[in-house]
Order: sequence, then structure tokens, then C-alpha cells
Amino acid sequence: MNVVVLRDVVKRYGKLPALDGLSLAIPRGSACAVIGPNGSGKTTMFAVIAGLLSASSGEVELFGEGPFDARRHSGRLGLMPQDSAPSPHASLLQSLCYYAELSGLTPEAAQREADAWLGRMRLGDRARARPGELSHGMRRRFSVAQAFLGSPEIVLLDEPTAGLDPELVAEMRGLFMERRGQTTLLISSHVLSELEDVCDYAVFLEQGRLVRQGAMRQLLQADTLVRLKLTREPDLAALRERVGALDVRWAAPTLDVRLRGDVPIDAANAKLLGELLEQKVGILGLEAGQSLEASYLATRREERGRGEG
Amino acid sequence: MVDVSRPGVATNLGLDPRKLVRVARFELAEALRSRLISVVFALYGVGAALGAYIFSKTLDAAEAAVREQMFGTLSAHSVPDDIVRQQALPRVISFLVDDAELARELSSVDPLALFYGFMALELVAPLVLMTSGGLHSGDIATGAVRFVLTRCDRLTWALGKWLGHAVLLAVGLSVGALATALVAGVRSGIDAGSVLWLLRASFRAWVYGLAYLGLFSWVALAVRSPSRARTLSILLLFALWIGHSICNGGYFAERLPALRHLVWLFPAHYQLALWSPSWLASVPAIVALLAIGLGALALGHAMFKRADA
Repeated sequence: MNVVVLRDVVKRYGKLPALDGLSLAIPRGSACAVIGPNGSGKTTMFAVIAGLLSASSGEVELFGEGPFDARRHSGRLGLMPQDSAPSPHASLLQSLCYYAELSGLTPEAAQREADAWLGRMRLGDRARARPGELSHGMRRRFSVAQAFLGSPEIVLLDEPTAGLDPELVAEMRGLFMERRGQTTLLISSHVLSELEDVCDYAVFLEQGRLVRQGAMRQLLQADTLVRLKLTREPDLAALRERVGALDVRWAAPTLDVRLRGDVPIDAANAKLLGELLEQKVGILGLEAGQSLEASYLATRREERGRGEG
Repeated sequence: MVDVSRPGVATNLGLDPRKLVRVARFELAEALRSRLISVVFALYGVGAALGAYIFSKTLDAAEAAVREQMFGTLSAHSVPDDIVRQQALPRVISFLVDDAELARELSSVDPLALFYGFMALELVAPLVLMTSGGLHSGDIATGAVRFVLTRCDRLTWALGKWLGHAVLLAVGLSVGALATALVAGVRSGIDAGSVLWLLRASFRAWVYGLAYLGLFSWVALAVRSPSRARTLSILLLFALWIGHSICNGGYFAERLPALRHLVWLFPAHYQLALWSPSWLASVPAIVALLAIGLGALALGHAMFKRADA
């Protein structure tokens, strides 16, 4: 079942369309990567889904119950906005308790939940600090914590790891992977390798329109593309003939082999590796599928080509 | 993680009373944590104390003048204070209230309560402007509202903030009343009747202030920038003052009598009725002022309801 559905949604700022007939459907429980260049409409899409912005036209449906309505959907949707600051004078703990109570928790449950999330985000020692006393990374972690308060069914995370150090990025990744399946996550980020690890679904946006969506595995062509890192260029013609590949490309030191869909991956790998060993080419690494980045860039190239054509 | 969930109960208006109280409590606490508000209230308290001291000295001087006029310097000290005050007070009141009949009625009121009533009524609009100007737009500009609006509806948020600051105003006016009572206590002692009069004066100033709180909230809900909202609120204050002067009589009202019917739109129109010691005379004014405040807030909400947050 799709938990977020957008049908032909248009959002204009004056005459400028931020979303231009956007339609997409996000399956329940998925971790969805929202990918697109700056200005592609990711933040606007999140705000429209959360009811903070009203669409100029089109339909938004959450939980199969129409657009977001705080009276009906309070506590069921969490949002981590990109550049928002909490109330300046309340401490982190006071703000989190406030948000948790507004989400429907009792004061006692709210306090426990707030304490737990501050600990989880490694902000326990800053519980009594005001937002102005926090670093950028701390504010970001606070923002993530408040989005997960009360275990909402959908959590929208707009650039959750921007400006965080690598250790914290890894922790965030762990959190998102842990939540995957229980919570529907929509995550936007420019660090595509990070999304590739966490997400099982992806949507590509371009100028406020959907250009591609689907399961991550399908987008990465994990069954049909094998990528090898080699010590030198192999005999490409021989490889093509032996493996029965659709396409073989060499860009030192990487060899991309696109296989036919009907060729079993284990058989293809056996032939491929056999041929490379016979040619005495050193194999430094092997991975299946292309990177999300490559898939995204290829999609953008196609889009641009379509636009120019 | 969540052990107890207590979903809110919506009323016909869509308001959740529990969330409304929670928003109001948070906003009041947030305001009381602000250094600016502490300073404003402290200055207001010091101003009230200083004003009460100067007023009581002026009253003493007026009483001395009356003694001299009535009985000559030799026998003046044997005249009972009550008689002297009955003669002296109307002279002082005539400076405060431009209505001879009302001035006579007010002669029965404790002089310091009268002073505080005058001071509070005159200063409450600027006080509201300083403590609550740009109230809603501050949260919209910083994005703090985005943490809240996925958890409670816009009406609950807008009204909750208004309520929180309505209580804040009561706190501020109480500080002034307390300072006046302290001065009275130190100078000549204060009885229960005078305390009651001080409370009545504070309550009426509070109701008068609620009208301005509603009007400034209207501006703050319509304008995203807090500094712009404050500037517009100052302009609105001047416009209300000028508008009331125009509609209340004089050159324009004489030439265009229809303008006189518009005076009921201005809070200042009800100031005189609030001076009356009789509740019966004040109640219609109190109702009208509440209607102005809540009407303006409703207008602001109508504008914010569909606006981007």
C-alpha cells in the first residue's frame, strides 16, 4: 500500500513553479531517497506533504485519507525541516517535551521519550542548553530527534546529515536503517552513496517533476551490471564474445559489463572472471550494479538530452 | 518507545483544548525566559513605583493647597484629612479624566489605584507592543512553527500563543500594581479596599491590552518578518490613535457625520467606560474590547490559514 501519494501536484511561488505536475507514490515502510539538484523541489515537496505549504493544484494523499490535517494526523508524521530553529529560550529538553506532548503523549511519556532521544542523538549532556548555545551539528541532531518523537508512521528528513562529521553520519545511517520497515522514511541528501546504503526506494526530481522512481535495486540495475576494478585494460572484444554481454565499457581502471537480463548472474560472473584470468588481468575489486550517483547522472543526462531534442 | 498515547479531543472549531493549554503554557514560559521581557517588566515596575511616588507627592501638595485655601495656614492642620482629600482629589483627577461627572465619581476611588489605572491604560498598548509585537511572525521566520504545525493545527497554535501572551500581560500589569501597592504601603499604609481597587484597575487595563494584543497578532500572522511586523504594529498604533481622533469629533467628523459611527472600532473609544467605578458601565466596554481583540486575531488566522508556513 502506498502511504504517500502525490497526483499532478503544482506549487508556484509567484509565477515560478517549484513543483510542476509532480506525481509519485511511496510504499508504506519503505526508505525512500529523494534525489535532485538544488532547486528541483525536494524541500517544497516535503513541505507540501507535511501541510506547511498548500499546493497550487493537484492532490496529496497521506495514509489513504486525503492531505495532511494536523487534527487527524497529529503524531503520525514527523518532519525534519532543513533550516529551522526551535524556540530560542527553551532548553532542548523543554522543547522536545513540548513537541512530544503536542504529538499526543502524556507529560510523563513525553519526558521519557525526550530523554531517550537526546541520549540517542548524543545530546544528553546538552539537555538544558538553549538552541543558541549549540553547534550546527548539534542543532541538526536535535532536529532529527524531534522528527522521530512519538514514533510517527512517516518521517520526512530534509538533508539530515548535512554538516555532520563522518562518525555522526554513520550513526544517523544506523538509525535510519534501524527504522526502515517500521517507519516510512523520505530522505533527501546530496550524498548519494549514503542514500544508496540506507534506502530501498528512490525518486529522482528535476525542475519540480518526477523523472524516475522505483526500487533501489531496479534503479541501480544490480542484476544486470557488473563493475570491476582492473590492473589494465582487457581485450574487450574477447570478453564481449565470451560473456555474451550487451555492452562492455572500459574507463581506467573500471570495467563496466552490462549483461542481458536473461543471463543468470552467477554464470555470467564465472565466464567473466574466467576470461579475465585467462587474459592475465589483475582484478582489484568487483561490485554488482552501478552506483546511485551513476544512475542519477545517467538519468539527468537522458533528461537533458530529451529536453534538447 | 511510546508507552502511553493520549490523542487530543477536537471541539467543533477544530480546537483541541488540551493542546491549546499546552501551547499557551509553553509560550508563557518561553516569554518569561526572555531577557528582553524581564527588562521591560522591571522597567514597567520601576516606572509604576516612581509614578506612584510622584503622584502621591503631587496629591500631598494639592492637599496642602486646599488646606491653605479653605482654612488659612494657622488652623489648616486641624482639618480632617478626608475632607481635604475630597476637595483636593477632583483637582488631580481632572488632569486624568476629561469628564466632570466621571471625575466626581472617581473621587471615591483610592487615589493610588486611580493613578495606576491611568498609567496602565495609557501604557498598556506600548507594553503589549514591546512584549508581544511580532509574536507569531517570529516563529514563522525562524521556522520554529514547522516543528509545531505537524503536531497541532494552525488555529490552536495561533490562539495558544495569544492566550500565553494574554497571561504574560496579566503578569506585567501585576508587577506594576505590586510596585504601586508597595509605594502606597511604605508612604501611608494600604488597606484591603485599595488593593481591590488596584486589582480592578489592572484587570481593566488587561482587557484593554487584549484588544491590542489581538490587533498586533493580526499583523504578526499576516507578515512573515518579525521586524516588519513590529514596524507595522507601531504604524497601526498611530493609525488607531489618529483614526479615533478623527472619528471621535472635530473637523472631519463634523463634515462627515458617518465617521462617528466608526468610533466603536477603536479600542480608545472604550477607555472612558473602563474608568467608571461601576461594573455595569464597564461590562459593555469589556465585551467590545474582547470582540476587537479576538476579531482581529480571527482575521489574522484567516490570512495565515492558507499561507505558507
